[in-house]
Amino acid sequence: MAGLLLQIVQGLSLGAVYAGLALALVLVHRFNGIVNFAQGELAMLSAYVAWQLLDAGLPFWAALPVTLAVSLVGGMLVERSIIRRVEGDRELAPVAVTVGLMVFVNAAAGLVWSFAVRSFPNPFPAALSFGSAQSGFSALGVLGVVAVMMLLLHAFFRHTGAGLIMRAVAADPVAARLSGVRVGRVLGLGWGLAAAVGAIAGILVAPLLFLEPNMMGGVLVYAFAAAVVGGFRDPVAAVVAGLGLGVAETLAGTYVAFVGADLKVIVPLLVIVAVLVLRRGPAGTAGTAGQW
Amino acid sequence: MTVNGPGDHPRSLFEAPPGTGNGPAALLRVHGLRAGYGPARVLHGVDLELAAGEMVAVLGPNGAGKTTMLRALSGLVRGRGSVLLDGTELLGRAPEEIVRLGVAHVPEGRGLFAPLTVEENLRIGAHLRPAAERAEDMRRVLAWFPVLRAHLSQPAGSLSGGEQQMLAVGRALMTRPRLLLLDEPSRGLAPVATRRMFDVLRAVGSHDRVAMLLVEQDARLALEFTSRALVMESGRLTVGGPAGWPQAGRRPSLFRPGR
Repeated sequence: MAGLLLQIVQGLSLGAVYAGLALALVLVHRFNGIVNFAQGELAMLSAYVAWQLLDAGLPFWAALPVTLAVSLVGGMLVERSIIRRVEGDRELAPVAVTVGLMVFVNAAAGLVWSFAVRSFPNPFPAALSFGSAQSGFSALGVLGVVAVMMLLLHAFFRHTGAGLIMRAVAADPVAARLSGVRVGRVLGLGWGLAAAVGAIAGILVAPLLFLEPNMMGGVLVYAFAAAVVGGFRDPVAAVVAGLGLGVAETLAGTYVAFVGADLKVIVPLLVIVAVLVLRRGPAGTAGTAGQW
Repeated sequence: MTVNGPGDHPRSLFEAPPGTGNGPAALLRVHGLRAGYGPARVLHGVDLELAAGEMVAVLGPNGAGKTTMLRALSGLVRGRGSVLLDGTELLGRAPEEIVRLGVAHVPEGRGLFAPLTVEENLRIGAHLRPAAERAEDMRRVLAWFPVLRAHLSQPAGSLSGGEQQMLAVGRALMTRPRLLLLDEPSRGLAPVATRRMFDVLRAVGSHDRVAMLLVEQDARLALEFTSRALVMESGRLTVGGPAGWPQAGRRPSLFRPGR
């Protein structure tokens, strides 16, 4: 019974990471209608930035805000320099650009930091570690950080002027322009926020998966599945789906004999197929608007 | 044959009445405005002058280019020619920059933020205004459209069509424009609410010296409330004059110049 509980907590913490990256995908899609295939690689890049800061001797809780700031600015620069050229293009150009960005960032990270696997310090104190309880404690830490991030995001969108303007742009960019909103800057800020949210997912998952340029590949598949459940528009559905996927994956890997560790990845793929079939329409047509 | 060469009509028909739109007092001067969508040219050279505080209606058949003219003035459609607002060229500027110069556009389909609340919609309209004046502006708009007060925390998309129209006009007035472009402000409104809407517009126009250019299907209404009416036909303003010159109640098509 205690084993099951631990499995669920671990599943939730893994799910929190998926939820974080899924939230980043939803953020980008809500603001400029683009599915960002490079979201995972940007998160990986952020994890490397954090690792570099830690390597330079910064304590974790100082490196985290610096990394988030770097990711925010970096995401805005990527949008303003590259992505805006394909915004509004309903065809394949945005897909090609973000896939290209994904490959480029992956290769660039390999060039700079090599593809060697590095360990990443676990930020959560192991003080309570006795037996399996240590991993349970760190799982709760991951859950807590993601929960705080989501609350901050919610507060930003609900209770600040900038958040209101961002929601207006997400609701109707043309009407926002007619109210004098400089929509381009808002789209850039959307990418920056998404990059920062993804950075948290990357930093939290790095101690579990170890740091290497390909570490986010699997996470991105789960995040995609979670975002698809929310139609790439509904952040709450994406977060709930991310948590559920984490638990389902962990439990299936442990208790369903033929799934095991190797076949776990079929769980998110089944979710994607099931959602798309049941919705009978392209992702993004369903989902509720305006929720943050 | 051209229907609107300067020689066809007295020049004064295209201009504001003496003392309002002529001379340096004109707030808006449009000259030779052309616009279209891709290869399809819709506006073929529109000339127009509008004085501060003046309310002018644009009548005309569907597809004549009335909406396109408003969209070109607010920057939603690229236009060529010249559009001067108080001497500043508007053509070539982005819509968000034109708003900042004092032009508010209430578009067809209203241009509201459906998932946001009524209050949030109004706050976005005011986001460029000094923080100290926003509360007073909000109070003003709610006094003009008291029905909105009961729905402040409701999503705009849940309002009736007429309430959405009032909110859209309120949102535009929150920007404190010098020029207000209105695309069928009476659409979706019951007759009583329509008159109320026009009363408000007339009051704002005369009190705040806001110039208004409104596209309207209801010619009788437009001619009753506006100081001048122009007729748009095939991408040109073909005839105009003081409202009341085409008698209220008669169809504007009767006043097309002979082809």
